[in-house]
Amino acid sequence: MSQLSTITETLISGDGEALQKLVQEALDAGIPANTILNDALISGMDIVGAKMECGDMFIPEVLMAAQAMSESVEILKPLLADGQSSVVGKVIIGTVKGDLHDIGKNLVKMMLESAGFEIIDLGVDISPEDFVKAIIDNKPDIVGLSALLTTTMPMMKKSIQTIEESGLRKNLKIIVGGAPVNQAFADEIGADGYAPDAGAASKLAKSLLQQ
Amino acid sequence: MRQSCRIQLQPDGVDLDFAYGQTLLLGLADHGIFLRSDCGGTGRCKKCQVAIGRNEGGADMVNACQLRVDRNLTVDIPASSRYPAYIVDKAPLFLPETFRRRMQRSGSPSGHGVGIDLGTTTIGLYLCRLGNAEISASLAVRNPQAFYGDDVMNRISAVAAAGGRTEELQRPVLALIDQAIHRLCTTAGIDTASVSEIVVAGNPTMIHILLGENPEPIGVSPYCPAFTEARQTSTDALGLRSCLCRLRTLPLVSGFIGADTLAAVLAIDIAARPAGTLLVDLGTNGELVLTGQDGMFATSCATGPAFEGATLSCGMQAAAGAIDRVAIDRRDAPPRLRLIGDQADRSDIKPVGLCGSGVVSLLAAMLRTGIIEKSGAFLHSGEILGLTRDESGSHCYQIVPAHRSGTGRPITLTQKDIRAVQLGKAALRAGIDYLLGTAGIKEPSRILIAGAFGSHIDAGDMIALGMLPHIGQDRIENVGNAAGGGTVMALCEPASFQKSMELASSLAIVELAANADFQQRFIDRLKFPAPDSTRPEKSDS
Repeated sequence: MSQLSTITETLISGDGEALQKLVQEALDAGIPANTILNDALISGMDIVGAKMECGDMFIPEVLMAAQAMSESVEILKPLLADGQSSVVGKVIIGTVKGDLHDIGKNLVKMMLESAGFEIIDLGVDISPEDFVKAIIDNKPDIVGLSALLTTTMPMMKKSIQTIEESGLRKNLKIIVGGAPVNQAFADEIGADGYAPDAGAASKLAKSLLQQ
Repeated sequence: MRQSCRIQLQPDGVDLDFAYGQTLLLGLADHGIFLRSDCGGTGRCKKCQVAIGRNEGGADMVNACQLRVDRNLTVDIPASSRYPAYIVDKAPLFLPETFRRRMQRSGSPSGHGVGIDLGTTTIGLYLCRLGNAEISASLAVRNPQAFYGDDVMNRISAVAAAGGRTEELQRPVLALIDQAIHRLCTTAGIDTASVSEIVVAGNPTMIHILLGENPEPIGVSPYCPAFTEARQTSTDALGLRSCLCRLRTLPLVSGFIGADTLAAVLAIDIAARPAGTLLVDLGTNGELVLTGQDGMFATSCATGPAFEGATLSCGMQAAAGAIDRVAIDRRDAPPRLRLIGDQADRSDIKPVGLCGSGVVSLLAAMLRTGIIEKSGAFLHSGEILGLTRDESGSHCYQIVPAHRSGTGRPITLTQKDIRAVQLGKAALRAGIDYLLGTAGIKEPSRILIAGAFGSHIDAGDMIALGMLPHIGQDRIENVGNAAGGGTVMALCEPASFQKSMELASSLAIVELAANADFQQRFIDRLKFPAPDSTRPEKSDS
């Protein structure tokens, strides 16, 4: 199955054009679309995630890989039978009120999408009430809260409180991330999980849904 | 009843009483013993590590900010965890020649004034004669608020945690200013009663806290200060006891462009310089001012203390024992280091960590020798001396082995440290790019580097890392502490104070945070330039 491992390597290198060509060749050679998706692309993004966690890959390379991934998934999508492309879970993500930073949040979004999650991105400067409204409208499995500033971390706590007070916490996992956030803070504000980077976030989301 | 616990300090055996459940960090501070707390006591920076006596069941080293004292302990505080002495040195200053000439002509000295450059990390104080701006004495002291974390956001969070009250952060600064004014007057041989005027410059958060204004609005979008005007109060009203006089603060412009930036602009007289002049004030944060064809543009970029302190595993401020220059001759040779405080009389000094200029110097050397790639990743082929893995499995480059370091632990630069620097340098460079784009200028005609951190870095190294546009080094000028200079000008010359207010209303502020185009530039600038295109240009000589 060296064709699949070549696809994985090309995905990690972030060469989108070469990747699309290889995916098409694999399809022409008769490899099923869902095998390419699961055994070459999604597993490749797991490696990207792990490399990001230890610092070997950084934002630009991860973005290129995620971009290459989503282009190639477009080729596969029409060929995937019903059920094969079904999403593993639904995630609402947003940067909390008072904070306008979204590079980190966007990276998490792309990594989760690559892992097969359906993502609803609310954007930046999202009030607790807007998170509540989006949860009611979309019924997600997971809500991801992002903050880059020390000063907007308390807004994460407020958001979780508001979600709880609205009676929406049941069957919902809340995960938090952002440069100033750590596990101790996540525990303190009652989040279900914390990830230090986008690679770890993807692993975390998957493990939370398996619980 | 478990009301208090006893802490015995080793090796001197001093006993201290602690309230039960208090963190070791805060308890020690109550007894006047300050530890480094670069991250604001959140357990992230690991700079407050102390040794707990073995027979109390403690691990070897623990973070003092995370240890709640619930039993009697013996504690040994290593020198590397102590907060460096408050008083650092004579404060440097940049004053323009035109100002000096005006002052020489202006006649007789009349009374004294104190100019204060209230920085996030360092406070510069200048005692001068009001009539001719002659500096009688100066001091640079460390901002005692560093205890709450090393950037303004940490300080704002501390105020927020106190319910919006500023006293807890204001009091230590006022106390330190009082001490410093006494010391300045003693040095100059004058009575504190002859201080008749104080002018303070500083970033908006520092000015808010000094005046007892809640800085919380600066911390959240849209990041607006509670006020922007120049303020006038008295030492008496503020609670300063060393002298009795008027105290004024220079105006603010936005949440992150403040009195310190205006003072720096005053000192370099940017308005009189040609279009395309770029002022880069690199302190704990980065402020940029650019002269366009019509008008001046300013922005602040969240470099944060990215090049030192909490952000880096072995980062520290530029104090004794800090590595401030690194040369690497070959990949298989150990790096050569220069240390701060490494003089003939202090040959015993050992390296403790990397300060900002040391990190920039080290990374530039690593790029030139190919130890790291353009992407910032370590090169994983070829013999590289010192390339190893830390306990978390991340790659790291060992600069000093444990047995030669002042901390007893190796001094390293980890892959994650490099990523942190990339974030900081990309914020700076994308800010410069974006400011140039807004002003419609292709490349700066001249770059003036100001600020405590900026003035110690080699311009060639900054270009090598892509922190600055690649212009000839002869067009880059190091102006040192311009904010301090501008403060002295505003103190001694009413026209300069007036000018700072005009500047405040004429600076066009460029907001970066919410701008999608800026974010794309930021991502593009995370990479380092190709090493061969960044060799310092040959000088004409």
